[in-house]
Amino acid sequence: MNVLEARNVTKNYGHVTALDDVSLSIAASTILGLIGPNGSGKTTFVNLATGFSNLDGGVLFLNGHRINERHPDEISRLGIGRTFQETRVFRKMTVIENLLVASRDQKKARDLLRLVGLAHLEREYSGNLSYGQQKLLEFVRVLMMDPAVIFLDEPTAGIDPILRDELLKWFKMLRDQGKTLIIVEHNVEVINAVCERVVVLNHGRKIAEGTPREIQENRIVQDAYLGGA
Amino acid sequence: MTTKKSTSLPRSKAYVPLVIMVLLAAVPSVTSNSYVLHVLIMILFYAVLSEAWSILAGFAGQFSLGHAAFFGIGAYTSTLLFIWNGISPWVGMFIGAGLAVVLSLIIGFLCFRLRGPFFSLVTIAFAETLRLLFLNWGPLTGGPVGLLVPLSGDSPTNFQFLSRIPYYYTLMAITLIAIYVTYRIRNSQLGLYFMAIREDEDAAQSLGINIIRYKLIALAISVFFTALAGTFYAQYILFLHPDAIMSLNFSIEIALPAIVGGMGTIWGPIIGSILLTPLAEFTRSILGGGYAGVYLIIYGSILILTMMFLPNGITHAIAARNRPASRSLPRKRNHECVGS
Amino acid sequence: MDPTVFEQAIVSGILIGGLYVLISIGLTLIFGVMRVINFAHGDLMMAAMYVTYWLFTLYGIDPYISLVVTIPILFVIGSVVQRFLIDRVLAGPQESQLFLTLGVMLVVQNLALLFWKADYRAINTYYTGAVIRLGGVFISVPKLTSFFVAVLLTALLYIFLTRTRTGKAMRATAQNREVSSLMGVDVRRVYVIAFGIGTACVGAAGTLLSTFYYISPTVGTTFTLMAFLAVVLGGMGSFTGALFGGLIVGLAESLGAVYVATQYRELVTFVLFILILLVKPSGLLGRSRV
Repeated sequence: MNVLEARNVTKNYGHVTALDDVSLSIAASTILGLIGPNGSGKTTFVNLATGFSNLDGGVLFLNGHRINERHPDEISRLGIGRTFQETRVFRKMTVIENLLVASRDQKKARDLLRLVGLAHLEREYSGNLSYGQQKLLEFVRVLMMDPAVIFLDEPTAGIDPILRDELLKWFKMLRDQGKTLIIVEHNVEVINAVCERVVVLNHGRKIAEGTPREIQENRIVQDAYLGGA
Repeated sequence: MTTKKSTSLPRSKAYVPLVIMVLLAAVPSVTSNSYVLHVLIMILFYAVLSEAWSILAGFAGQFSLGHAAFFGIGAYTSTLLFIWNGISPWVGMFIGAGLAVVLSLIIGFLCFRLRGPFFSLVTIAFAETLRLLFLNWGPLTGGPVGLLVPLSGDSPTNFQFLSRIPYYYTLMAITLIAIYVTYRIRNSQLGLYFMAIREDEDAAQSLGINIIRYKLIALAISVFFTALAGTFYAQYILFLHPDAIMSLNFSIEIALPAIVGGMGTIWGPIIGSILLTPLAEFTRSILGGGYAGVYLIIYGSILILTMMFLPNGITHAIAARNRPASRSLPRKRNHECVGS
Repeated sequence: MDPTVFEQAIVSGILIGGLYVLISIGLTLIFGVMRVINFAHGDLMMAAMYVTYWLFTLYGIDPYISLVVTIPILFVIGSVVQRFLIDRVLAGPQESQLFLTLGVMLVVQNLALLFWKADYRAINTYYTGAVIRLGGVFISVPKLTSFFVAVLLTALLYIFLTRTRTGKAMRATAQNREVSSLMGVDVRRVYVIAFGIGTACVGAAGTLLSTFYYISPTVGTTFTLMAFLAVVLGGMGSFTGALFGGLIVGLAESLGAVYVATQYRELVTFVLFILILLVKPSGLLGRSRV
């Protein structure tokens, strides 16, 4: 059974169709890349899957259970986690408090902080951290909930290459633990490095699906990015 | 579990408020000057009200400008139960608080989906509605004439005393409990949830926090103490009028000590009250009757100045000075809701 | 039900609605451009009413003439408040701005109480009680005149917002302040002017209102809340929304005065307010930029 399944998912904002009859299914222990030009509906899809928006059409399934009308906190408790495009740490709370909000497990929090090299900043206001550090914080904050599915919205944007490679290493580690990651990305290197499969959206429609290599060689995808189709 | 709470006073300074409280408790043994005691009672009165308000506003980030309504419900409930059924206000106090909490949960459930200033606006509307209802409900509340609490003289079982001292200690007990509850919230998972909601509701939801539920909890705790203070007021002042105790002005007065002293802290509202209340009391007593509103000019000015120069309140300003200078970025309210 | 009474109420409602429109436009302009909820709005109007009163009582200046004084004065007051007070808190959380305008409200209202006590005052000109008859309906002359002046001012404001550079800059800033500033708009100046104009609107409304309405330090709060209701009904930040909302509130108040007992009138306003906020906070026209 697929962990996450979307069938004919549609979302409209007034007259604008953000997502049009999109279907995809994702198995466990997978890293899926979700790519497409700006405005193609990637973040909309993430919002729908995590409960921040309501579907106008179609169904979403998590482990076979329909999750269409659930609130974001319910979906989170069901095991779907996410990060945000604009990094949203709790700025006036300390680094460790950010993690403890998700779960009281202090040991786990400290372990995760050590993993990403933020342990020495435990008591610092997260608002004072650098952009890259905040992104890391947001990443491990999600992990505190031990979700089975994680949506990562542009997780490597603005991160230096060394840190980025560390992140990619952890993504693979999470996949090997059985988790499913859906990564919204613009960076082709990242996609090639970690994703087994890629789904391409354009103007709210799924225009291609396949391995990173297949996608790279796909003419339709190239046109979408270059031709402004 | 204690982690360094970024907005609390540094350890050594935390003893200062405690010392102040001990000193305050000792005052009646030094003087029985009625006026001094009255001012102290008023300080505690606004301290407990503001501390309660701050639980919702400072911790959970929901700025209610209608708390006076719950205060009124507490005051009128215990008083009416006393007048009609002879129920002691000690008991009526809790019944009033219970009623207020239930009503607040209904209002909260309806209104918590509103964000920011819209929430504040609807709390004003609800409070004004209740005020007008009470004002026009003559048989129940005495209407425009007001309601007198029956004078029983020295009747401790009926929450009435001849001397101010028992009032003082009763209020101090309530205040200390409120402070303690705030302290426990501050250092608990509940407190973390509240602060997360205040910081970023969407991010909080993405971590499994049911924001309506926790806002309701914060509201319930806040309203509980507000209503208790209402009964205290009824028994101390012995006269109730909707325009005095259920007005927008009063709601602002409740909020002010927390705003000036520092929201979301344990001692902020207390310090705020210690600074503001004597100011108001002295202004009123020096200037007298015709100038009853002058203290509001002072309050308004202080509010303006605080927002301009010390927007986070005094305690935060002190705490900030004690931390090594770090890049602190202004907090932007997230109006962009991620989804629907 | 006497049809003339109903018609009377409708006409009266439209006339007062014109003034509400003027008040609401001021409020919605301030919110639209700066996202500031101005609690002091009605009290600044009250201040204008007193200026008008004293100009009339001390110098015999007719209220309609004194518009040339009150409008600039209120514009200046508004600009000053924005430039020196509100501007400082715009970068911070929204509640700071809210509390600041609450503070201004407290100061203005209680200064008025201090200087002039709570007594009701009224301006009595030779036309105060004058009534004309149009098609079966009695119309109060000051109300009618004030209505037309309000319409004129609203039209002028519309022209300003759509035809002048500053007006367009204001609308651009309302829509997107970052882009506007990138395109060379002096955003801070726009804010000052917006607040100034918003206050001038309410100042004009105050002067016009004083030709037939009583003057007291506490009238401000009522009108602030009415204005909020109108603005929320029409959609916060929307000019046409303010037009729509102002008229609706005027009509509702007028009809309410006929069919609802005096003590419950204010109550009806608040209940309406609660309903609209809970059911459709983006306004009946759905044009809000919340």
